[in-house]
Amino acid sequence: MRAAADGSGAPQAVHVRGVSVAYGRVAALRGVSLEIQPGEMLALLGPSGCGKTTLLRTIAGFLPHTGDVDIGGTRATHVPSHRRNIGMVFQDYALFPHMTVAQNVAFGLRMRRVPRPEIGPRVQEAIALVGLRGVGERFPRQLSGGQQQRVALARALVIRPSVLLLDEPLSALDRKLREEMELELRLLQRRVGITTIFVTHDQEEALAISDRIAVMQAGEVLQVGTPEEIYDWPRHPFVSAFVGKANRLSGVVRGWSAETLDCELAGSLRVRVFSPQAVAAGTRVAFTVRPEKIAASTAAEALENRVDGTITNRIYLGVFTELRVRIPTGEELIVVCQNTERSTAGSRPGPGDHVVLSWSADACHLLEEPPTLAP
Amino acid sequence: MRRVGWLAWSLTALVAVGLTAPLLVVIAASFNPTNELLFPPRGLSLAWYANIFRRQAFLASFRFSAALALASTACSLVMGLLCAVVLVRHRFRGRQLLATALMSPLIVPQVVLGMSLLIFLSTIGLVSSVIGLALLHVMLTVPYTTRVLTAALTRFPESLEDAAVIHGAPRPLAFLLVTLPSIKPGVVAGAIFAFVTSFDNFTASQFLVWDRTTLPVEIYSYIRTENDPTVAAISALLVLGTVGIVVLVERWVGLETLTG
Repeated sequence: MRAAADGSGAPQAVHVRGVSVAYGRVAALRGVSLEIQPGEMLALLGPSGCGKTTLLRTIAGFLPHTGDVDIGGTRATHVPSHRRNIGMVFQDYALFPHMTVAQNVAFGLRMRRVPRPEIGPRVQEAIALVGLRGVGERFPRQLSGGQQQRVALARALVIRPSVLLLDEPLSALDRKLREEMELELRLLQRRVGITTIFVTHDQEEALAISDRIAVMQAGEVLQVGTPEEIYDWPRHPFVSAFVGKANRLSGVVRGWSAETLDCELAGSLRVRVFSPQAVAAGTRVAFTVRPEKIAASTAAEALENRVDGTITNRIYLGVFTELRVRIPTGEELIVVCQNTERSTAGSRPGPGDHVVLSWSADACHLLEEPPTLAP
Repeated sequence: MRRVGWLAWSLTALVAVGLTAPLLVVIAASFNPTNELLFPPRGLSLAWYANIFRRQAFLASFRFSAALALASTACSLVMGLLCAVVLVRHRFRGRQLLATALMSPLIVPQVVLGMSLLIFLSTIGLVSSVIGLALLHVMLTVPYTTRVLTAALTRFPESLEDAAVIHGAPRPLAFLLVTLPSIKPGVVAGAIFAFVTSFDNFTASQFLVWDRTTLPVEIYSYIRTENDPTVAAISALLVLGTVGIVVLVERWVGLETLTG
């Protein structure tokens, strides 16, 4: 009956080891391994159906699986959910509709048989922690979406859990409120110092608030790294395409010197690509360039790579302008330019105009998987 | 548009009158002072109401019917809840077949149901109205409770129960503390359907009245020999009781939950 002892407050590590989950014959997770450091905020990022929620529910103990889940260095695989001392915020918040806000928040404490005189102050403390006050006697349906989200967070934090799990916690909020809550969530997590795993399909959200991101696809973790690593050094083609916009190019290696490959693209176009390791001449390689790392101008800039192109489309986005530029290989590159005073004051290149694209060799990153060769 | 509105209104009113008029006729007839069922009544008398309470058979069968209905409702709620959990939360081969089997007492003619139970119980030597009727009434009411609770449980977001579990409640306690209160309207609706079904049943019950008899069967055997307004008086009291229950339910959970 008794739930796990009240949390000590010390952040715990979570270790997922070779976990597989199947729904009938469909594999939802295929041997996933992942280490989450104590006090870390880790995002599980991926498109819908990639298995990120399944992984979260496995850590919560809701799903039968093979492999192991360790929490705080001990094997939790056979510990039932109600004794794992986990706090969780659900996508629909899952507030108990027949209980007041205070009763909702007190639920975990009641289950842990915390003495009655202690419950009141701790509930108040948790409600204050998430920035709510004076709503304790209201029912969930009388609160706005943002307020309900805070109540769900308070209910999860009040038990001083070893781990906090968040299942797309912000997806039901409108954009402005979401950005506000992202920041608050991050500050709150730092202040409480709790190991947090959150599921999101929103790459901006993942980049903005996590210490590390695990990008998932088709039941597998493709790459784990800091937001900078994931964005700047995507090793997997899917990661480069899913996180941010990316231009993907491929060519044949003609030489390597000073950590730079000399690649020949279609149409005899030569591009220099950063690579710490040598790659044999004649190898076919794929690489990416982020749109904002390409400069578009009428005169060439002093960067290693210079390619002529023709603008096919121009989208004004306020802070940025996004251009589509056709280059001699026949491919279209996305180029994003910041709208500075200088760039908006002068003439703006539009569709049909000729531009010179330039970028440094460092802006190009090799992808691990070689592209499939045309027969 | 206005013409259609007018037509719809008068049709609705007509249906409402058609549904309630027989009840009003019976209630009015129950006050008739003479020894016949007459409408409009030839006076105002409570003699037939007094007659109900003079006749021990009516009171005894009423008490038995009420006890039977309460017991079979309680039993069928528990069983219906278990069936609903199995049907809603599990995916298995033969699930649809099981769902159909649980509804079968609604499809089988009640005469067949009552008679087969009579033959079965006599064969195994269990000639007791209490056991026989309890068995029959649970069979008759389980389809209703299963159906209503399945609908309620399907609409219930399971994440609520998961939230209770992850924050420290063992699964059965989470069901009791969170799921059950959330599907309360379904439970109340199922209980009312079950109670009324049991309390009203005549067709199947008449086969099993060995040593005890239910109110509907008692009323039937009374009107086979007598033609006085006592039965009308009983009907009037039953209508009053039903209205009372409906008002109570309306106060408690809201009547719309019975149909929604």
